[in-house]
Amino acid sequence: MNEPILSIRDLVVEFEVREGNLRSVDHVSLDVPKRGFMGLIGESGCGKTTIVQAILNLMPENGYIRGGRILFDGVDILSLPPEQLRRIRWERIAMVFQAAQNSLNPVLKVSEQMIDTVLAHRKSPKDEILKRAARLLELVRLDPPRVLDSYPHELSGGMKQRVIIAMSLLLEPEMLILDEPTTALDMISQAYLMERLKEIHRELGITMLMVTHDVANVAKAADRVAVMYAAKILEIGGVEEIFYRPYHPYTRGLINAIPSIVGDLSSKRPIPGLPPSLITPPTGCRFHPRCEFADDLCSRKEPEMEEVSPGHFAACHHWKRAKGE
Amino acid sequence: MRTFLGNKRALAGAAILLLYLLMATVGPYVVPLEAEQHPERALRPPSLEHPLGTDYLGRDVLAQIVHGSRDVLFVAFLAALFAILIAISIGIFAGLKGGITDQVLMTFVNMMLTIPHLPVMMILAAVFRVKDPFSFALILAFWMWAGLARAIRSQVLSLREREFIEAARLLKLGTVHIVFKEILPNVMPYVAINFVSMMRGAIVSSVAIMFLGLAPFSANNWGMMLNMATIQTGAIYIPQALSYVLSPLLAIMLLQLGGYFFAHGLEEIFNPRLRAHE
Amino acid sequence: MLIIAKRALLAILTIVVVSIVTFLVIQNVPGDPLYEWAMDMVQTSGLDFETAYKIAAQMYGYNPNEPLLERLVTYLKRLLRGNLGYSMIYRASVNEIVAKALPWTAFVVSTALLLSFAIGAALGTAIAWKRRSLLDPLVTGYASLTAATPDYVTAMLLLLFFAIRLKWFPSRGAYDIGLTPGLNLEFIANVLYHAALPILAYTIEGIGGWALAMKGSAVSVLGEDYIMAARARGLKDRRIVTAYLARNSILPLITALAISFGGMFGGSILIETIFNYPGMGWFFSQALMRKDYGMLQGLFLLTITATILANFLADILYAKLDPRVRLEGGR
Repeated sequence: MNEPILSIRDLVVEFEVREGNLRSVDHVSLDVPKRGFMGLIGESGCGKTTIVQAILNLMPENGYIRGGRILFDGVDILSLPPEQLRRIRWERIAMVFQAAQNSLNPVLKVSEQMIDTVLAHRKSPKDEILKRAARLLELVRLDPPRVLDSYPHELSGGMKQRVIIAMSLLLEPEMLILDEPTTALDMISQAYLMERLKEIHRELGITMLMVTHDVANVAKAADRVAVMYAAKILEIGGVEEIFYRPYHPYTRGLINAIPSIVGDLSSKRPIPGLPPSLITPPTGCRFHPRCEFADDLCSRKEPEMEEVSPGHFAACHHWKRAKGE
Repeated sequence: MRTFLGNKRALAGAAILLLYLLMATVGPYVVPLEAEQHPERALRPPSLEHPLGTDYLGRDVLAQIVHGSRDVLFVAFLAALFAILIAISIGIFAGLKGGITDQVLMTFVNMMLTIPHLPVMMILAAVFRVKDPFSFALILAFWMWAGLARAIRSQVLSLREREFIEAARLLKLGTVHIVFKEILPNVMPYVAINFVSMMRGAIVSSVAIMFLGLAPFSANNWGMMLNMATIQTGAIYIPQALSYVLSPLLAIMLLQLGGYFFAHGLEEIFNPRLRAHE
Repeated sequence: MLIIAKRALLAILTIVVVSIVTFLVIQNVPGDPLYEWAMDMVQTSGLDFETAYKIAAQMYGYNPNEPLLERLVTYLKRLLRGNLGYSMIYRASVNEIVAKALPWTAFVVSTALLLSFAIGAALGTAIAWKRRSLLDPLVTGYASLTAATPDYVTAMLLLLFFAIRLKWFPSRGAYDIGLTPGLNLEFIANVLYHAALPILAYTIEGIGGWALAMKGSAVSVLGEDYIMAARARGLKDRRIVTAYLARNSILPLITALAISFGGMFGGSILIETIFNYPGMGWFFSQALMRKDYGMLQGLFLLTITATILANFLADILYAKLDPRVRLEGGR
């Protein structure tokens, strides 16, 4: 495994809502290896989107980073002054949001927004920018002359998605973060998109961090996977390890829940129960109310991350037992 | 009720409105109008005897303001009432009937909405020589009902689709029943909120019309007072008569402010999404 | 094209209906305006009543001996030719009066509208962008105060204090008598001097409304994903506020702008009367007070047509500006 390009250490993020403080990210630590393709999976609302929002400090109004460090290339970007943070955005770390269809300004043409993006960071003649933009659009299999001259509403959802991805590569960032890139797309577009992402990763060597609840898509492209639940990371490991030898009961539940075309559905079991409240989370291990292996220890003490096999970590008191299954 | 008391705007507005209401109802008995003229005392600044000064004929200004409030509020109330009655009738009728009737009525409403109200009201007032508050209120109401009618109609349209209308219809309960038992109660809250706004609009328009001397049936109406003070006598140019001119202006302003806060406060109460601090 | 056609049709229909109704209303004025007119002429020019009456009828534009329908047709034909009628008190055609008065009203109203829009929109954007600032309650409070106060009250207060008491501004007229109108600096400065208070009267109230409208629009635009995405792309604040925030927030307001342009003519009646400013509104109120029905009719029709046209243009303008709105589908 390579040196991490991004190290999240002990991150805590809270939202102030009417009912109280919602802790969306609770002492999370994560390393993203350089040139790796990391998948961050978990159910909706588990906090994975918040983590990536926090990386570039793009929290919503009521979100606050309460603690922790995010080291990018050795520098804690949470402590950077706004202007320096602005430089890092897109130049070194680019981010494609959830439902990227709405990420484009409706009153500007695609070409103008491409130009905007580059000119915010460096001086460059416009035709140069457009040339590069055209090449990137080709990379994502879009027709540059037509797309550049269009307004966002003239493009389909999938096309807009790819425009944003092309835009994200304009400044040759070292890292690309994608938040649920496939959610709003149909299955064929999803497959297509994942292929393009794999291509970009392979050919340009960019570190990718993809956040999604769609476990199947991650399996196709990622080389390393982290599993998140209720504001905590439960398991981290190589993609094969996670999918074939999951240790945490929750991960096993997730993997087991993936339907496949072959095989009978009788062995598929959804995880019983509902995700917990993040304002008043369960004591001890967050997953214990829904876990078949849970016991008294689980409800009292929060499990630490342990290395269950080389490069593979899980946070469960009974991982040895779960392994035996 | 508690939300009402907690809402500062609604409370302040209500307090002001109550004050004016008191002034309009009880005031005239407390402060009698001077019938005689005392030209030697004309256009005096405020004094103990005449807290708001005297007008161009030496009469007490405070008394005129108090009596005028009654006229102003009465006309506004009538106008809002007529407007609401018309709006409800047409709105419900158009909503229920649908089809051509609805289209025609809505075209009519749209036409009325694009025409600027004030010039029309003024022309009507000038042409028809308004002699009493009722006809005046009618003229005012004629231009106020359009927007409300359209809103009521859309509410009726959406209500029409709902189950209880279907149920009532199936039970063959008759149109009258549907209108009064099902539709009206649902439309009423919206109407009630708009009542104050309509009154406010009526006040502004009625005073404007009177300011030009077009509805001279009441001499104490604030609009007429302003007419006398500025156009007819030029008292506005005389420094001592400041109070004479200022009083009706401030009276209008305060009343409108009260109504504004009250109406907005009500809106905030009934529509929590509008609350400033969430 | 369908939506435009429908709107155009409605606009034309409204104008026609209003013309006819106005005609009927004025025809049924209690008493006979021609009579008064004729009497007036008899007294001033010494004509005999018969002749005076005929002349009055001619100037007013119709023959009282004709049946109603024919009179209506004559009237409509006259209108279509662009003849707005005749004014009794000024002894001039309404067209002449309009030619003199319209520029003043247009000048004051346009300046005021643009000023209040520009200032209001800027304030509104500022408040929305910088949340929880001191500016917010100030502007909102100001907007409440000015919205509640009728425009003529504001105008009268301005006149009272700034023109009469403090004598900082003149209290009547569009320019000092004795000055030669022309494109010279002295004249222009004088015109601006006289127009200052009327413009202020419109603007004071206008700013509040536009500020709040812009704030509302901007706040909802700020909640959109593309603003967050713009920040993620590292765009500078200034670029985001202008090309991303303001441009999108202003769109719904443009329609309102065009509509208020038309609506301003209604307010001009009182404000111009208060300031004795010789625009359309002032002549309108003169016609009202002195029962000059000929001029009343002409001015009114012109105002209505202008308002309706303004509304109509507003719709088209909005469609042009927002690339998302297609003229056929509408919204």
